[in-house]
Amino acid sequence: MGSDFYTTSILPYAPIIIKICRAYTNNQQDFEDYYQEVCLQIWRSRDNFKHQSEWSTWIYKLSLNVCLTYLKKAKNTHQHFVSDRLPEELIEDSQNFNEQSIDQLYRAIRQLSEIDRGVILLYLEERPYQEIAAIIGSNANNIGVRIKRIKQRLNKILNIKEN
Amino acid sequence: MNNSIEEIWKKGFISDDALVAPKLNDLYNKKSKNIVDKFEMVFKWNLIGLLVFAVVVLVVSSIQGIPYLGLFISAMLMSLVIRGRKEQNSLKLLDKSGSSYQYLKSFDDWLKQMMIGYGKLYSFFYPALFLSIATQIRNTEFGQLAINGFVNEYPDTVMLFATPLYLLLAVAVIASLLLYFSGVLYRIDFNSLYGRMLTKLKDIISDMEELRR
Repeated sequence: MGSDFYTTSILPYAPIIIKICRAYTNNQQDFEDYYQEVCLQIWRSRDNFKHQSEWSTWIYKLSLNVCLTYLKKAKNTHQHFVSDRLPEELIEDSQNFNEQSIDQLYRAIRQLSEIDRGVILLYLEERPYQEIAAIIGSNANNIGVRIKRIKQRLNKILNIKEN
Repeated sequence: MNNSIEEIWKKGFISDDALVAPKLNDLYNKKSKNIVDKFEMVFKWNLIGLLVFAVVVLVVSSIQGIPYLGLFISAMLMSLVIRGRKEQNSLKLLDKSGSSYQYLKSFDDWLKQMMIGYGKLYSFFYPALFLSIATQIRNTEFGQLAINGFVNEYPDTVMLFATPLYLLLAVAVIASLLLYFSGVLYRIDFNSLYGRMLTKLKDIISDMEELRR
């Protein structure tokens, strides 16, 4: 990967990649593996970007797809965690996240299904429903309903009173 | 908790600068190790398979009353296994202390050398296998009946070693073709087992070469 490409086309969007990879991993080692894999795939697939969407949207899409694929591989080889159970050993400290509550939110997000994790991350990143639907491969109405349901679940896990 | 999840998220990432991207070092270390490990595993099982097959051929041919053919084929298969063991040992000597790129390049070189060596062995293996089977068939009752039928049909046919010359020529042509195309046949055989790994190896090396620019 040319360092120019990384500096100009990936690094400015690193926060997106970091946030997504964090939702699909439980420890620093996995997180770094996922991050590197996403960067590598962005670089390898760069010629497939047809300017039909924003570069950032494309990065969201590719990051999610890579994480989902990686997670599937990990599940198949039983080397990593499963998504439906909160792992006992979760990384408590994080050089990337300075608020304790964001860690708690991430823990809650990791309890969601793989797809729901992607949906809520995009929602929290304030991506329009239409864009989330395009990235996930659904329609905007379904996404709205789904987000509502995911938020209810997260609120329940985090013990947040809904308005 | 009093904050909504949206507020937690925003507060958690007040500044995106707080998100430190991991360094992209040793990007290919795992991939390199995985691909060589996988190759070694398939190679090992391939040799075990050949060994088992050599024994099975020997036993079955003895039971069928064609022990010499079985012995010959088994010996040829064993020569492949012995060659494979040598290659296996030389693979272990590859320097793992260098960079991933150097490691994969040396693995790629090893692979090319191995294919050249095996290619030479197979240029003998394929025609010899065909000739031994043809000879065995010639000496069976069925073979003799076929020759008798041929001679009855073409009484003027020239005979050599009690076999119609045309038949011998056909066998010689097929054996020559097998010799000529042994390299191609070996590559087809090799690719059916290791093709995907080779493609992956090429991709990784080409990525790494681009990385090094």
